[in-house]
Amino acid sequence: MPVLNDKQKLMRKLQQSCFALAEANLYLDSHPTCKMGLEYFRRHKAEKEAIEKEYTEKYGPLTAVQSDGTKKWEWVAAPFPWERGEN
Amino acid sequence: MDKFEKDILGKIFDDDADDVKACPVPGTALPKGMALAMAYVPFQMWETPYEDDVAFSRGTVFPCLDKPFIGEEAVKNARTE
Repeated sequence: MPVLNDKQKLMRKLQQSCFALAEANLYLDSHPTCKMGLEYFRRHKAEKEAIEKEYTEKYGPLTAVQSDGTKKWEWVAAPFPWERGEN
Repeated sequence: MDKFEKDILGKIFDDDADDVKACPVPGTALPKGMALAMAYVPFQMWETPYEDDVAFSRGTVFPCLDKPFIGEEAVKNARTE
């Protein structure tokens, strides 16, 4: 496992949260009233939103629509999230 | 040879089976009244998921769905509940 810098570590945590959410989504589609599943989803959704907030505050928008710069279009001001070596 | 092979396949090809019944194969574990020649998928129940980092590398959060295809040896040590 390569050593990840802080930005890459945060991105990895975000990816892990998003993956867990996708899995919970699939499970809940066929188990819509499963309390444990719903709780799992709620917890990971909160986690994901916190991590995403931290990431975008530190490293800029993850999607173009998240740009809210008033003087500059932030989306192109920093490397794109998917660029090699950046995340 | 796992249970399936011994109890069912084994019986099917056992030509000197002494049962009087036309076919030596025992009734399978499926509930009565299930139509023949249909495929069934057991319903997944909730279980404690993997930790997020483990799930991310395994490709699933559910241990029961963690079925890596690793060739011939997968048959012997496949994790089936």
